[in-house]
Amino acid sequence: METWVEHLLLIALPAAPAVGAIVAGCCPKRATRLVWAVGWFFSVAPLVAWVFLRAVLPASAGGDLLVSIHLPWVPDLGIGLHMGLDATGLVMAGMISFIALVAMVGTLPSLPELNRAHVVCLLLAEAGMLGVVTSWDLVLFIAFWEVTLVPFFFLMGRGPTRGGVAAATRFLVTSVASSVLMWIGVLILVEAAGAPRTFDLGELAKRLGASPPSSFSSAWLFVPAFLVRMAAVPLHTWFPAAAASVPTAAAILLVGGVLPLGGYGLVHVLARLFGPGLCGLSVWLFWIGLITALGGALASVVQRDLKRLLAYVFLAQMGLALVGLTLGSEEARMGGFLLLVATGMGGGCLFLFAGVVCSARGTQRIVEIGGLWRFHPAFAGLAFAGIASAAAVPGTVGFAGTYLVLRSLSGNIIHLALAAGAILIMGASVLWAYRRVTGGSYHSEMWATFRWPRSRQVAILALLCVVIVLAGLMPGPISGLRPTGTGPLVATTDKAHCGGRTGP
Amino acid sequence: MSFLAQMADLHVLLWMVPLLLGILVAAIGSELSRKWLSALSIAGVGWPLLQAAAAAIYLLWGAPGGYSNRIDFDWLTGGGLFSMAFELDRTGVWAVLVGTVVGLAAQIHGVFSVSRYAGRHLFHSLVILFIAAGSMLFIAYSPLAMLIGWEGLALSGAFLVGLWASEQKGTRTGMRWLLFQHSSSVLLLMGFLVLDTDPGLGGILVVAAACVRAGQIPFHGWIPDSTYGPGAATALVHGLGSSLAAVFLIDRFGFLIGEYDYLPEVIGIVGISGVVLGALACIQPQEPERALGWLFMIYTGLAFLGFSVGDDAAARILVTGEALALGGLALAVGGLSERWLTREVAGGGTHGLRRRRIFLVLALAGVLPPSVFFLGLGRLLYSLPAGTVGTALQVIVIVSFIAVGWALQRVHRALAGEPGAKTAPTSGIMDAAPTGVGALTFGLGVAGIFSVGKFVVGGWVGAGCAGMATGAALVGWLLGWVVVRRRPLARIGRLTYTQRVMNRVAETGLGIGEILVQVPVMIVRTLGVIVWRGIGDFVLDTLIIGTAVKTVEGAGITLRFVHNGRIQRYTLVVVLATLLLIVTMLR
Repeated sequence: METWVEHLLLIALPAAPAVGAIVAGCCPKRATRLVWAVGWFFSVAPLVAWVFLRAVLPASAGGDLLVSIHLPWVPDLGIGLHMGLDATGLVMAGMISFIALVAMVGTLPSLPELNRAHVVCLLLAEAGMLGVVTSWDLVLFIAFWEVTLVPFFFLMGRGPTRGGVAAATRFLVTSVASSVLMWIGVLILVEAAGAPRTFDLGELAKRLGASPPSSFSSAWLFVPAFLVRMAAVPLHTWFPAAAASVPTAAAILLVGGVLPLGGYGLVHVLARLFGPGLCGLSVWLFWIGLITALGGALASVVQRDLKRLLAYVFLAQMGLALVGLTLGSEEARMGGFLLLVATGMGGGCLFLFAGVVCSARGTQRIVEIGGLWRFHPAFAGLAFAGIASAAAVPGTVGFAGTYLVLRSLSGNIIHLALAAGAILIMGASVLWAYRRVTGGSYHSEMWATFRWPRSRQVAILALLCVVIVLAGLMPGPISGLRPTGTGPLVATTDKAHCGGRTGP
Repeated sequence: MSFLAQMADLHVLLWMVPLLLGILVAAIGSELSRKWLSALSIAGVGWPLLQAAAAAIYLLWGAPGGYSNRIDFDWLTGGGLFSMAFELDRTGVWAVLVGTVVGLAAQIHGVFSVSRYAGRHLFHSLVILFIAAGSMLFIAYSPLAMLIGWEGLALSGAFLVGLWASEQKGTRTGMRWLLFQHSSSVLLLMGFLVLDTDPGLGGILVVAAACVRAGQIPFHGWIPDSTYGPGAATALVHGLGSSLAAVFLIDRFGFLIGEYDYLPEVIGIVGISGVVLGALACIQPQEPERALGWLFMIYTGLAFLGFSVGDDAAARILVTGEALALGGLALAVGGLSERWLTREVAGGGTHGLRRRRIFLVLALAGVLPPSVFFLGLGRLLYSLPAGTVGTALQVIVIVSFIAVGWALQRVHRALAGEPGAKTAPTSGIMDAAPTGVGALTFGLGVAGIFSVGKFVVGGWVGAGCAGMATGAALVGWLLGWVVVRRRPLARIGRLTYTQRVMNRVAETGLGIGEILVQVPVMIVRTLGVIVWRGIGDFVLDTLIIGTAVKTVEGAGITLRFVHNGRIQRYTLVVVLATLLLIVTMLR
């Protein structure tokens, strides 16, 4: 039985940051403290709303709506304000709220006079992303999908280098172009679903499920939009350039919000409309994912720029997530979903770390950074949680996802070897980078003289670290999803203990 | 007995207590006085040792039949595929005991040997975390717990090996270890994953993971570098992190070895190749620490050979002797490592004669009866199959001990230091750590003979064969002494051309290990450049996506120019008409 409190909390998820953006925009430009206070308050608000939602909603697996609200908008056209959350949406909403908080609290604008615009853009981006997660009407979904682009365009274009502008343009152009295709796909599906016309995702899925008119080609129209956001090959080229040259806040939101949202869209829209097999697309997407994973891992090995290296590593992780999401089994999908969470959390952690370190050092070249362990062991140590997650070290959320995806691939040794090779290479490159950045001697004269890292950055990194480890150690309870079956590995361990000879 | 039973039942404290203490030492260690830091550091390793000893007594003499002390954390992890469970059985308690003994010796040694280093609390913290990871591995009852322990050893070991690295060499050292060990973790994960669908392949992958971890051929490329750290780190990383962990893993999955005929053969070939390669590598002129690394390889190869002939007990006894005897040697040679350390920290000299005497005792402890290693060696040589192959293997093993003696002699000589070098101040307790470990090898040997009888060494035949190996080691020692007397051992930097070549050969594991490191890295890097620059940047970014984006951008810029009046509208019309005309004509 849903209550008005749950509805209010659901609406508060995208509404709170949107209201915050308006309030911050109305503040005087010079009132920096007020603007930041508004920003912090309204970025904490969705997280608080999410915590309450998580507490009151029952744990449930699958695609059942846990909470939803349906209001008429344009009834003649079948458009409604249908918002809701299922189990995956709930996790994704929590992650995005958290990552937005990380970006808000952990970063500063590149120029002091950009405080207000920075805060407004961050809040708008958060509102857009949470809107995407909660939308169950395709018009609403695409509206939020597009709305997200605008604040990102401005956030990305205000980096220290001109590369940010180019990356922002590339992101905007490819996103808009792919969204047009998605629009066409939506219109085709709505027509195919018959009268009365509806854009409601659940209703469309029900109708198309009863009489599947959707073809391979109409399914393809949706794919570029999600692949662009996931930075999957061959539509990935905007991401490494963007991650390397945009301000830290934008980079955190890109890797922690936009990338996982692409994967979430794939599950939320595509899998719902076209079924788990995606009308035969899953094989193509599987290979795209595997190529992305391998290509990203290989490209990361030869990077000398810290942020670029991290970008390619997370690109590879997204590739693995795509592999998991397109495999048929429940286990693999959960693995893919956990990898989306891993990218969000690990990416947020590492891009915050890299942003702080690179701005203090004034360079992004790995060989010119070193000795962080001696300067600030806590900061360097906390960042290791993100590194470990990216390298799929057991006990982290990255491992939990990787483990499930690899397990689903274990039937085919070639697929397994390719995926494991990608994990090995990306782990090697990210560990190498970490060793270089934290090891060696620290020469204080090479670094900026102002106080860094700030205590709030250390605190937020610690929080991320805790979440990464907790989600890795208890993926079921944290994500609300449960892998089915005990698996034969437990039996194997039994055999190892009982069947093996014991004692010298 | 109830107290002992509780110690066995609460076995998760074996890793929980060190984990918490390790974190505590890392967090507040820099603020603590030296006394408190030492006390906490030793407590972090001492607790699991005491608890494991108590649990071992209970498991051996007090536990009823069918006793099980399994503890699972399914309430935490959600169970299912993420089941995390622990159980302490006899194999586990043996491994924990051996590991913590080496760990305690290393920690005590480290309290004095790294005392002048500013970040010493991190070293102690890493040692404790290393022990915690090892204990977790040894009592793991589920794949997840086992993988966490396995990877935990790799990560803490990487920092232990390379923590002191302010220079390129140290960074490379830590990275090599880390990359190899991360590979072993991925192999182990793959092995676990395919065990149910293809147990044979799963077994090979598990064995491969163990080989990488143990630095057995052809995965030995990390061995020479990994001994550059402090002696305490070398003892731990080799004694516990690689040899003991690898042997334990194979032991745990021993049921697979029995089911597939080719697995014992693979393990046997790897083991004997390791013995031969290690013997060839350790007799080359090189730095003493590096020679010790090759000795570890030889001893682990012997343990692998034990598994291949179906004598698991021999493998366990051998690796126990290896961890204690060679671990002790690494601590004794730590004087040199410390000299390497002090070069960058404070400057200093060598430790002098006392260290040499300790080394001599320990070197003998490794091969002389009734040390525990001697017992294992006798048992192994007795267990080798009859016939030509068995005899050949016996001869190879015995002859390889000439190289062991030779290498030990070289290291012993190197401990004398350079003429005129001043002796750095040293502590008696610091020397007590390796001495104690050496005494323990004899003690365990005596206890083994008294408790099990002469058959623990494979009877008189085994004892005779092991005695021949001891004789070979003594012959090697004498040969080395004669050769070195005629041509004094030169230190690095003063080697002749031939010696430099030989040193390089030894450093790279006779070339094979280096090839296995360099070739894959080269291939991956080449592919990386092709993928990144060729396919990613040029084809996708520039030609496909770039062209599309530039076209849109160009159209926008053109329209802006038209709007600004920089391009007249009629000019645009003329250009477009011309383009249209050309396209039409072409079609």
